[in-house]
Amino acid sequence: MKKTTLAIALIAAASFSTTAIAQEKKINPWKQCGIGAMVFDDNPTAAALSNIIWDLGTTAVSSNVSSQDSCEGAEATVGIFIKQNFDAVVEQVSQGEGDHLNAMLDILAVEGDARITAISNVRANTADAMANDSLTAEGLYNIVLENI
Amino acid sequence: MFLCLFKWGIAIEAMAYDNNELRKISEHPTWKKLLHFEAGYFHASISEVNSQSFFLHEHGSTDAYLELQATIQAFQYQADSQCVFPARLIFLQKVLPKFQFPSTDCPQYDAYLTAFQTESLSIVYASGYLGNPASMYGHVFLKFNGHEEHSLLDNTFSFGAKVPENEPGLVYVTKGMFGGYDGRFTNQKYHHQHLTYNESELRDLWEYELTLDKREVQFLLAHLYELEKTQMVYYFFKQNCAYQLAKLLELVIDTPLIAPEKPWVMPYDVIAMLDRHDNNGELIEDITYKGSRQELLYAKWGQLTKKDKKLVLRLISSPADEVATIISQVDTQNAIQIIETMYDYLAFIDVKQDGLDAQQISKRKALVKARFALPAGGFEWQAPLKKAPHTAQDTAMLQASVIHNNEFGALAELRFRANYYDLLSVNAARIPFSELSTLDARLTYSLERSEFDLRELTLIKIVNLNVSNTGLPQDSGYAWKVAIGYKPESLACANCSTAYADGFIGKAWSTSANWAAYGALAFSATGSNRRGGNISIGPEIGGVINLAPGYAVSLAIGQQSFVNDLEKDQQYLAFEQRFFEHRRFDIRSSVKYLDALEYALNFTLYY
Repeated sequence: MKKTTLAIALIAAASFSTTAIAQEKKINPWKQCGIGAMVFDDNPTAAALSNIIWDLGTTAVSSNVSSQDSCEGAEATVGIFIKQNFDAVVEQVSQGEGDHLNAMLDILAVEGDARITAISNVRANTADAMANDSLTAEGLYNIVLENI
Repeated sequence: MFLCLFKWGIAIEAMAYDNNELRKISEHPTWKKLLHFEAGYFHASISEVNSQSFFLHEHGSTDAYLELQATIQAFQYQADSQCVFPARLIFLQKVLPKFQFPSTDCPQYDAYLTAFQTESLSIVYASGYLGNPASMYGHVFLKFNGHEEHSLLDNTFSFGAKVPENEPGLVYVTKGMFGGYDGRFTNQKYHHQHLTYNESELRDLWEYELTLDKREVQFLLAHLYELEKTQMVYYFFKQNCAYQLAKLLELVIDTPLIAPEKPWVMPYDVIAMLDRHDNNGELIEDITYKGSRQELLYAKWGQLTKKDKKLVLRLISSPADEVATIISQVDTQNAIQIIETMYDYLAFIDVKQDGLDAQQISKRKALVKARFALPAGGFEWQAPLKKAPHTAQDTAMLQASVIHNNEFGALAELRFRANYYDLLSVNAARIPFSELSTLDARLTYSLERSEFDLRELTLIKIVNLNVSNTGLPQDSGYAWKVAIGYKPESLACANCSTAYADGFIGKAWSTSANWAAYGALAFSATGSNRRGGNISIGPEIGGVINLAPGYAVSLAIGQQSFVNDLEKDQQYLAFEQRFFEHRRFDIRSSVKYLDALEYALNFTLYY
């Protein structure tokens, strides 16, 4: 299960580092960068790309050097991060603290009081989604972006 | 060609450096390291990089002087080439202070440095993993530490082989050993490494933060940038992750990081060499432990009260719709502890089972819902006390023994084991109650018969007792052993060694970190049937006890019948004890029985 998640993340990273196309208007990275559409174990592309190595470090993850509106931006990066680390992020949102939660907000450059508020709001909204049995990685991604 | 020579003449004149001075610079250790020049057993010093794009001169991979000339010329007349080789530029600016290279903008390199904003550098050791031959000996990678309190967004570099998907196991091992794969440095965020090692493979990570200053770290980053598109042949035993990392660090650490006494390189050895040359903090600033999910579970389980442990067991055995009711039986703090323990448990068995079943997924959701109903804020768990990998016994063994055998008297024995550790070794950051031995040879000399005998040559022996630390469902696996090599059929005969393959499969038990006992079905196949048959099978019991830091005991007793000669059987016993707890030596004694009784006293050095 976790290996599949890792493969997805690598494919996502590969997609972003090879399709670094600046967009003129703001995009929804989850949908338009294909984070939600990443397919899994038996996809031959997954096999071909699972050895992709020079992936996130030099471009996509760093919000400092990438465009906010492209598939290299912070929003796309946080989308991959949530997709890849979904279980850990949900656990830590439920606890209201943790390294993955902090890393997610660091990617989005949410700091100080804004971070405290964001954590509180993300926790409350994620709790509601859990209560409705409707929490998905995309749902959590949207909750995070709506509350920063 | 003429044009090149002409331009080179201009460069030399302008620089006021004569050929002798330049030739001396081309022999500088740092220049050789930047080009990855190494002498081999059968060739002089040449580059290990096999990408021609890494060299500016067509003979640059074999001639460091020509490559130096070509680099200076390129930096002078094609200034943008400085952007491709920033580490070479840093080096040349230092050793050629009288010469000013033209300045140029390198936006891509600048962006890279911005993305890699680094406060310090760590070498991270990932503990061994018996599930994959390439991972049994651990792994090391570099971590460039940013300024955040957590490290998940830090950048890492590691060296590995480029292996095609679905490579058959035998091909994988063979090509890995004999240079069938190209290797390269890879760059990933640390959260990838956390997911791979801590979560997916349940391996611990040990982070050794180094004392390098920012200038030295930047020099390493510059050289890694140069290596982005280069490849070097990967060899499992030498030119592997540990070797390439050590070579990289030797650019800025003025001491060898590859163990000089060994023709192979292992991740442990690089860590041990760092420690050996540390001199109370000259190289290592700090050591940090990042436990796997499995170890996090064990640490939490050990801190729960008996009542809370019972509730965890109830949660595991109850359906998801009873989670809230069970959690409601304890106060908030205990509820938080129980839920956090269950999070680790489910993440752990997610790996063990290769995915959770529907019932477990529902239970996990119910636990998350229950946690949301409690106040924010985690429980302050005590960090587990773990020995760092460099405190383990060194991995190559040289042993001298005196032996008394009931059948043929006194023997002297010399034993060499290339690596790695056994059930009695002083182990740290290794799988508890396991053994991984490769190339273990015993040469005996009989005082009565005045003759030598290569008595035993074990190619590989792996034992994993797989004990449960918690007693929770699925927190254990089969105890198992495999061994292949050449050994005596009996202790009652001389020169009667034969090829063998043996092993066992069973179950082990333990209630503490100090002991484990197992019962198993053992089997053995031998190349000779002098004792009755080739294939034998039967029960075996045994165990390991660490009675004190300086005293440990192991025992194995078995009875086997020959499948192809049912009237014949064999009984065996192996008792061994280790005295002292030291990285470089110990004294052992043993009693063995296989048709004859044999006592031994062993003096062992490790390096």
